[in-house]
Amino acid sequence: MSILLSLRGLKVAFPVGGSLFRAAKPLKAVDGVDLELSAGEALGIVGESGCGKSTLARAILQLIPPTSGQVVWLGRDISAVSVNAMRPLRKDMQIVFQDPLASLDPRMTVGEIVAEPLRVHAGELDRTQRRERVQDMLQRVGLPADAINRYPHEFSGGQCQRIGIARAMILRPQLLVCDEPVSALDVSIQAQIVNLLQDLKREFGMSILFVSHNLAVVRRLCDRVLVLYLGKPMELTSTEELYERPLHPYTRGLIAAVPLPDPDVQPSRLGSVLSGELPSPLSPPSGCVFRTRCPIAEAQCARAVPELDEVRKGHHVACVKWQSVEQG
Amino acid sequence: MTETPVRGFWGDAWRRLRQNRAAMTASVVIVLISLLAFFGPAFSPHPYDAIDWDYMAVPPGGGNDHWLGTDRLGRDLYVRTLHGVQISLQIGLLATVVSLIIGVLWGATAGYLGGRIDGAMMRVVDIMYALPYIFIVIILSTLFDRGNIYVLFLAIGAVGWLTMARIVRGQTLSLKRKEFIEAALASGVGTWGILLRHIVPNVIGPVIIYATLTIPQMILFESFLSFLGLGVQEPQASLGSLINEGAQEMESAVWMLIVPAGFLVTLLTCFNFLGDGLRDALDPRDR
Ligand SMILES: Nc1ncnc2c1ncn2[C@@H]1O[C@H](COP(=O)(O)OP(=O)(O)OP(=O)(O)O)[C@@H](O)[C@H]1O
Ligand code: SF4
Ligand SMILES: [Mg+2]
Repeated sequence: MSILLSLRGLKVAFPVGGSLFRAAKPLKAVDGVDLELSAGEALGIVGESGCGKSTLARAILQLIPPTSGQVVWLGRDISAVSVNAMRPLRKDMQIVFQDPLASLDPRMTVGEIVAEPLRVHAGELDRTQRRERVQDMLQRVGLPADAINRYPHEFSGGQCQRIGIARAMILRPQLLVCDEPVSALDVSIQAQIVNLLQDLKREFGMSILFVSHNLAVVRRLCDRVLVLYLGKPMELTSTEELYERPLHPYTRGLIAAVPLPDPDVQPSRLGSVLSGELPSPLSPPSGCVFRTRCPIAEAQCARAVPELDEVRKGHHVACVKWQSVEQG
Repeated sequence: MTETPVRGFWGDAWRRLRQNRAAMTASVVIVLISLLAFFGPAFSPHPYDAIDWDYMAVPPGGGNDHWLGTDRLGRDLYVRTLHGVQISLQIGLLATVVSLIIGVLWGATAGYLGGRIDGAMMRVVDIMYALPYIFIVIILSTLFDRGNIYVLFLAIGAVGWLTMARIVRGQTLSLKRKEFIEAALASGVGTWGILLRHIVPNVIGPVIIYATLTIPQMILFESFLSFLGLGVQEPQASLGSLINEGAQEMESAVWMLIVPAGFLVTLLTCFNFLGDGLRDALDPRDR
């Protein structure tokens, strides 16, 4: 399959705490991510709150400028293109946000909101044609026909998210980035939205980058999963492999935090729920960033940053002791 | 499928405003009073500053052509009050427009640029807030030519923009962080598109509401200054100076107080009703 997007050593740092008298410290929100995304693939990005998932998603879409590294889109490095040169490319990469209501302009009708990308990228359409496209898309995402003339605040969270999805899908993008699209919704609604995304993917065949801290949701939707911790990739492999044979202690901890479907599986020491506090991203631990919470950390873990190595075919892990994880 | 007409934000706001009876009545009254104030004196045989030696301090309905009576100097109270309304309205509008322009530009710039520029700009506002307002105005009024009320109110507008700047800055700042702005950026909408299609419609509501409520404040403030003898000077009149004169004759010629006071109260009430109506109409969220 063809490569749609690749990230090469992508880093994003925010200067924080600077004032008139003190230099700002860099907060490394995303710290060296390498990744390839194929056309039609769904990739999950998981990790605890604050580990840089949203920042990564926004840096890919050039909504936040990367500090270093490359974002290669269809063979072209877009990490340094101008705002104007970026604009036409946006038609093929769209985003769905976490807070459904906040992502819709309260002053616009649903019709205007969903038509906005068409206005920018499909100038050849006239009003009626635009309206038809919008009406079709609204129907496709499961909204009532009269939604087009109503305002976002008249809809529930789940419906607002459908509006957000309609806006993102109206241009039939090749890449749909979803930044925790269901975490603000009721559990019963979450499944409906995930199903909708699945249906749309089947119908339009776009790639999906699905950011979430909910492993169960990721499992439903994604082909591969990237596990992030303090901005660094910990593990990257197929969904199946990740849930069956996680090779990183952090991934183990994350999986253990999800209620087990199988009561016979005994949680081992490695399988215990993550304990300890997330270290401040301003002063991450030396060596392996996970070592302060890792149940099997050793002295050597503090010395060098573990590389993200491909230890099995298609299975990348950044841990010097992955073999003992596999056995334990 | 039934085709319903596309309703824009302004169309909807207008529809909601029209349904608000108090606000609609208020705007009709404001328009009528304004028309009367600006064109009424021309149809009266009496100029606002002419002294009628035959009818001094006559009460309303005295069978002569001064149907609202005259003041102590025999000037027609009807024409004089209309003249006062005219001056008061002009002053209210002038000061409001000045404070609106400065406040919106200052606030939007600070909010949009953010960071240190924002910090510095808002400290200026804080410092100006801390200065005793009335004190500044009194100093200004003595600096300028006493008769020139317009210069004075340009100055008052130039001091009165602080709240507007704060409102606009706060709105712009919180809008800038909203995900729908990011969504527009992600769709490829340009800077102008974002400003005109997203920022302005979201900021303009509070601006219009606040401006509508500023007009009566400024009218009232002018009245207060005139009451202190710092506002318009004889033979010109504003509602405030007329009320001041009327209050001095309260025991002998109460109509001199009641007529201008009636106009003032009516105008202020109407502006406030209109402001409230606009607030309801422009904010579809809390209905
Ligand atoms: N604009 C910013 N300025 C400074 N720091 C930021 C900024 N945006 C994010 N950060 C910091 O970068 C880190 C990563 O944030 P990010 O929002 O990407 O995390 P996340 O994984 O999406 O978390 P969540 O699950 O809470 O959404 C956090 O420590 C956050 O405080
Ligand atoms: S490298 Fe060491 S500290 Fe890091 S996850 Fe592996 S065992 Fe734990
Ligand atoms: Mg996030």
